Amino acid sequence: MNTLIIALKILKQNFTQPANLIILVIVPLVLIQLLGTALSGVFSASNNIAEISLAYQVVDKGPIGEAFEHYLKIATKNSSDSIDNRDEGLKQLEQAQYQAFVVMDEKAEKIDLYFNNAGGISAGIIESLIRAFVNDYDFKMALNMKDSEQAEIPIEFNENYFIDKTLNRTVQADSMDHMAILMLSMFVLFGAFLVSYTIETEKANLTINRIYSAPVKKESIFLGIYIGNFVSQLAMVLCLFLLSNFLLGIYFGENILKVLLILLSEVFLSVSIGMALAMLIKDTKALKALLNVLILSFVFFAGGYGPLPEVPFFQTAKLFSPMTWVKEGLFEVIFNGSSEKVMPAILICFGFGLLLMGLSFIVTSRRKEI
Amino acid sequence: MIRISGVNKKYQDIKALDHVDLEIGKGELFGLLGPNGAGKTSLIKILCGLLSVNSGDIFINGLDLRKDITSIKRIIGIVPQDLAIYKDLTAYENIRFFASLYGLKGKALKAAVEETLEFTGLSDSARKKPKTFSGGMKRRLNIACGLAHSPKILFMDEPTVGIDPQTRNHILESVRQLNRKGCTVIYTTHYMEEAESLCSRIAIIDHGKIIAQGSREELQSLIKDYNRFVVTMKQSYSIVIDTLRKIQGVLRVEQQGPRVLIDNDLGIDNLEQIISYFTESGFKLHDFRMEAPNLEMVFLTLTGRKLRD
Repeated sequence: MNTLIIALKILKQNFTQPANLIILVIVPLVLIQLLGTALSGVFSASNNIAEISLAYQVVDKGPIGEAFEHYLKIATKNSSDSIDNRDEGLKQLEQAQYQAFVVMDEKAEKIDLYFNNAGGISAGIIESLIRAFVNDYDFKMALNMKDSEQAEIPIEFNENYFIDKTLNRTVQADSMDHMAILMLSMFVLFGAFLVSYTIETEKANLTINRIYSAPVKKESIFLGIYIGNFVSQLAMVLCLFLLSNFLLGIYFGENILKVLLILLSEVFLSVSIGMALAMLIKDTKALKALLNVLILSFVFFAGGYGPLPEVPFFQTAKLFSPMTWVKEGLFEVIFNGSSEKVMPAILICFGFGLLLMGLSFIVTSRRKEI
Repeated sequence: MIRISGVNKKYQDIKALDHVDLEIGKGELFGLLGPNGAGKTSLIKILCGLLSVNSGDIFINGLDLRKDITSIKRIIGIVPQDLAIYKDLTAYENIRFFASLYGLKGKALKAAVEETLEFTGLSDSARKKPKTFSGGMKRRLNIACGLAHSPKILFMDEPTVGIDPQTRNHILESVRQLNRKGCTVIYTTHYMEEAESLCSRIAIIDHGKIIAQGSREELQSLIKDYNRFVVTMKQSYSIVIDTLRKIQGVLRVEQQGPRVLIDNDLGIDNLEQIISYFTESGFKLHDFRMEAPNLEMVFLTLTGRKLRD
């Protein structure tokens, strides 16, 4: 009963604080809209790409090469030319007939990108286009730009670019969908800040002393705080999910239940991180610092602030970020209809969350002083 | 009702409580008087189960604090020194939340909350959030949250710090009323006047030690030869404090404009010398009174320093 009383109190506090709703619901919605619109050129073939002149040589004659060539034509609105010889391409680049020259090798394993000095903003756009293609998920989106007739052709790739061998080509994901998933997985993790803030405020206001001086078991207090935060976080995530779907028209695929399960597991993790650190660390400054480092690292290594460099360190580090797994699980289930990465994402979030929650529960219940 | 024996509490190398022994009877309004940092709050926190002791025994209502903490918590209430209220919940919600943790529910809970609001004079502001309250109202809400569940024992830790005289009087009267209803109140303060006017028995604590305890009269009797001469001169002459201090029995001299306070421990044996100092110095006197020893003097005599040092 006391657990419920404490949980309800936290629920009420979290939902009567406009700041919480703004930070965890409104801000991500606005960011999805703003960043989605700003990056729409990278994702959408229908947008204009100003004054691009691009030459390319696709040595690979297989499906990837074919897809790449097709992608370049659509992305540059046919302002790209095919050149059969690398030397010839480089020569024309030096003569400033093109702003960039792209070469995909015969095994479709490497793309070389050359610029001339006149590159400027267009060079940045071209690089973004190529990065978008190379990026695992952006690559799939680029392929999705094919018209529906071609898209029905099953393509099998033996390269590392793909995890799934069949693609759901009926889905045309745009930058808004991409941003929505990124923001959703990122802001769920940011919920850890709200949880730790709730507990810190309780400690700073000394109301926690009042609760502990009441005839309530420590375990009930712990669970009450946990449940209250978990339910309020989950409700805010559902709000964000529904609003982004209905207001912004974000596509969440056919397997809504699996999408929600992944988000639920991430909420569990986020609340566990916030709660564990706030319960275990008494010093406020140390708590804030550790929470910042942990959460922001997770987001950074999951590519939340932009694509990671293609170097082994970052590629390994990203595997240690739960957000990477959440993001990939969501992308897979939404755009490819594949459940292959759903379970790993859920298990990692629940596993890590349970570990943290268990640890803080044991420490809190054994603590003799408040 | 409360028996504390040989309680020690250390924070690393600092002794917060040093072999504290106290007995507080049922229905008492017991004062714990001491300067800031004397150990009052530590003792209250220990009695509420928020801190553990290094050694010693505490029994409340016959129950061992170490073994029966949950049962003890059911009959106690706490009003902490600092405001411990939710600023984002209304006064009603604050009181209801804390009262419900003691098992109150339904109509009983509603009645208890309303009665407490009435008692603390907050009925009109029940649906307002504390962020709109004055300092005094916040203090009253802080008290309300500690007593809505009708505790048998109420710990009040300096509940009148930093408030206006009117609110202070209201709070003190509320404490008396609670006590009259049968609630045992343990009231900590560093205001000597509060302890004197409110409490039936007082313990004086300093540096974690109980240095004296008893009724006001019993404490005053500890320094029966002590008194204070209050000399009022016709104008603010500059007196030579050192000369007055040299008179046998004079402990302390303080000038407040034309008023001179002289604490001494020789009764009236040195009265003639003191008067002579003023007349021989040419200072014309307007009034002369002798005050009986108060708790401030008791504390000063026992510790060598003022309560508010």
